Amino acid sequence: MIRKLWIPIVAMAMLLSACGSGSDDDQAADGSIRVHIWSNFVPDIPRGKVLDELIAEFNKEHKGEIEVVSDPEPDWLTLQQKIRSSISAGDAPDVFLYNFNPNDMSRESSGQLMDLTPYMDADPEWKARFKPEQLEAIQSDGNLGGIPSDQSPVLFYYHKDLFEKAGITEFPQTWDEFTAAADKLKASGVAPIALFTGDDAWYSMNAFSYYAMSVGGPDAWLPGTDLDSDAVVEGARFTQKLFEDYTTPDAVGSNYSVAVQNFLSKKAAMVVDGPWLIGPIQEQVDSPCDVGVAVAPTMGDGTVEPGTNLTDSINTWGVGKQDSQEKADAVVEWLKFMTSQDNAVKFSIEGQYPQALNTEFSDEDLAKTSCQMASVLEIQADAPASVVQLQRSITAPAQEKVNGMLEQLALGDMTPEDFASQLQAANQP
Amino acid sequence: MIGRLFRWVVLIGFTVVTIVPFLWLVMSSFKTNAEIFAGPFELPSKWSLDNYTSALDAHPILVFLRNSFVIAAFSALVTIAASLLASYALLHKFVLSRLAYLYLMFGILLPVNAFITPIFFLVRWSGLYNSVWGVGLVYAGIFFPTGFLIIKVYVDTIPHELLEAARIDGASYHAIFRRIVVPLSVPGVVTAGIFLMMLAWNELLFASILTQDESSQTVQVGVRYFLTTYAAQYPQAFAATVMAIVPPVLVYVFLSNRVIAGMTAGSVK
Amino acid sequence: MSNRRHAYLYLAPGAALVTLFLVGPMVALIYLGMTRWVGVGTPEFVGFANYRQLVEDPSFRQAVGNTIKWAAVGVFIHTPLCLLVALILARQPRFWKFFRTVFFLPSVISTTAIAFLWYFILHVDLGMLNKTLEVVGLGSLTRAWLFDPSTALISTQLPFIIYIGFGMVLLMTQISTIPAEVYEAAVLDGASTLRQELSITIPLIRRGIALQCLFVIAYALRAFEYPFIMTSGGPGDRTTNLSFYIYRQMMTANQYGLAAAAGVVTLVLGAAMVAAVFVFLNRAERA
Repeated sequence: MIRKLWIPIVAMAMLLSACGSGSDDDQAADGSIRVHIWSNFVPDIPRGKVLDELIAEFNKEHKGEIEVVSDPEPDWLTLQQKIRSSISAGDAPDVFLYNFNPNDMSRESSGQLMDLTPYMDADPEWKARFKPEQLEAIQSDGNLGGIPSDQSPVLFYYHKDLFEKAGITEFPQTWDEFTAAADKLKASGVAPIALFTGDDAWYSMNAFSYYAMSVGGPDAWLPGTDLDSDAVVEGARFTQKLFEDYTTPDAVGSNYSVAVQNFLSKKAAMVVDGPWLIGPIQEQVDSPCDVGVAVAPTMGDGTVEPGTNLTDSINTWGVGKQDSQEKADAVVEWLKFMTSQDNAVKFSIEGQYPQALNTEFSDEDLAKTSCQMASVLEIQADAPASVVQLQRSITAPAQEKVNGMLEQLALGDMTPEDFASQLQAANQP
Repeated sequence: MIGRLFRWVVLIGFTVVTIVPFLWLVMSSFKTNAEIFAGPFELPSKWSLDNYTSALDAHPILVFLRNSFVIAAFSALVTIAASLLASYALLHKFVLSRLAYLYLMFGILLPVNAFITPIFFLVRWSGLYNSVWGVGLVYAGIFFPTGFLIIKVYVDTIPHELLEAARIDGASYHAIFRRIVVPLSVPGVVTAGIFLMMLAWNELLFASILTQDESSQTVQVGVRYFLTTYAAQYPQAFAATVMAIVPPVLVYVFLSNRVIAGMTAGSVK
Repeated sequence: MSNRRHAYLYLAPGAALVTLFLVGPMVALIYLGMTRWVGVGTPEFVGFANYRQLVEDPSFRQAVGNTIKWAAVGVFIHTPLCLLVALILARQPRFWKFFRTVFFLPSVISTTAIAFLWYFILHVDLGMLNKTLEVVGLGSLTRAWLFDPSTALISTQLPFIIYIGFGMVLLMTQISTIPAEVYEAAVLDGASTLRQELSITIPLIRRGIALQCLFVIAYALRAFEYPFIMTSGGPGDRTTNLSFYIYRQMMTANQYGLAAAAGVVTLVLGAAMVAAVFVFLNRAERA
């Protein structure tokens, strides 16, 4: 009986797997060198499409020599876990995307990464593509283990039509104006701002950070700064007020996908997000150009220069150490291709993914892009300074604590003062 | 009378709470993202197969289904074989049998999701990274205690007189296993098979850590392609989920109706 | 003599699987639990510092409490429901095969999809539950089920409680091994169905019930998707269980040592709960 049942199943399993077993490593079938890229650029999102197009173009040019393969992992945390495990196992991925955090240099100093310094020195033109301070930040003990990928600007996106309906003519310049506008929006029957506390509490911490920066200036959370400060206390007080009065009823405990839908479906009038929001805006908002982009208000007292924007962490293309010089050269060949002026423009415009590179945009490029991306590029170019958002600048253990603390703040179980002192306590290296 | 009424209330109540998610899932797979969030319990504005075709176009769902099936069948098979052998060995008490039993079953209490790092190292080192066999073996290992416990309960119900009689007839240790123990454990094997295949079918964490491309990724990993942080396409994810439900339902119906019914009808007891 | 040698041979495959994939990683876990490690580089040995940190962490204490509550609803609410349905279906009422297949259905739908559905059912303003309450005039009972501190935990446990597929199959196959003759005397005595179940069926499948309790406790230690999708562990850790706590310590905080220590605590807690089930079973066997 058993035998009758299982033999066909085993046979079928063997057969099925035989017709599709993946064999891949350093060499492709035609003898060319294979380079694997680990990122979260799945082909379902614009930046993933661009990556796949660039790879196809590159592989065509290097037919028989180099074959680049993209192995995307949709979940960011899983991707980071895989990268850490691979580095620990002594086999870092060829090229991998990770979030640079000055508080955790374990990947950079693992000894498993290639050193790009000689390549940069040999090719000053390539080196000039990058911002020197970013290259400086990434390197560890003189070993440059990767190149900056993007540093996404975090900006206010708002429904102009909802603002008009509430009687607001332009985006607020100061936080007092902001509160007045929020009251008007609320009175017009819409939640002023979309927030959430799940995942990485991104929207909430963006609003928090902008307010805290207005109070404490651009250096308010530089590594090593005491976070039990006025800036953090006031940021927490402001965020608490947003949760109590100015957001959707499902904000506490929900995650990115819920909050972004609240904004896209116009249940909430504004949101603080990165440029990846632009794709969904084009798909889901009836007249996409009715969504405006703006920099955050300030106190109006000169603590921060108006126009200063927050950014996501510097995402970095890490590069694993290679045994063969040939393969190392192939990896660098790809990196140079990916970061060229033309391809950086393509990533920014078509991929909605502004690069952390010195890139020139022609008027023709800008004409091709969406209303929002044009504003983003303009705001970014005019920004007197860019500051990495608070939650991206603290230690990982402190990041883990932030969600629960925000929820307690929102529920009124924690005071802004306690929030600041607990954040400082959790942020010890 | 009251008993019958109660019985039907229970059955219908459970049917409702069970059918609702299924219908909801099917219904949602025809909507747009915006429709799901605007009115999660309203009918879609139009019934079209767009989400299904775009899900199939975007990612090789059929390949994911095949991988899931291979992994589920392979891991269940390994676990069941090892469990039958071990359960038979433990039918005879010997010095360390109690200890061996504990050793084989205690793993059910382990927080396996904390094992990501060591298991990643193990699989990488064995060269089975990014392979259905690697994932299948890991499942066979971490789900072994579950399969073993189910099967052992059945093997233990085999009457000792039967084994004794066979021994007196001159059957060897191996022959008794083949001719008596295995055939009499079929209901347990089927139950365990259903459980193990479903566990493997629905597992996500290890499947995503141990695989790298579509040659080995499972349906659960595949569905997540539609649920990236930046652009969550729930309707397509649900369409893929609906497609992923069909094979296990067929397996279940086949195993439960054919095999269990067949076995218990011609009762050996 | 040779039988014993054979026995070891027969045990070998199972023992190999357990050693390789469970015991080996567990040894690594116990070691890692005494180190500080960010997942890259060399772990730094710190002795019992992680355990001290866990004890002092209110989130961890909450997670332990919630895990025990998961096991409790599993044993005292979920399992009796499985038993009830298994007993009814084992008597083969009309359409029983249909019901058996339907009840098993949720087990093949991924937990992720089910969690998502219940997120919407319990959602504060989109949710079916609140809308239904308003329609029937119980508007005063509506609330943000998932984020009201008093209902959040039970809301995340609800789908687990009511989807009985696995337990039902397990217990039904157990019941099917009971020979019909066992009931003959009772039927002749005119014992009611309820009487028969209580005095014959349940005692005969007590090992199956214990097994089900064991599985439910094991599930409580691993339950992850419901809090992850429905509440992200909130509000303020009120739905965080050990499994979710470990996930966050590893994936978000990169505190692999602390996560490993929490894993060791999970094992000890699970062993204590299972010991309780076996003590109870032993007493039942003797009685």
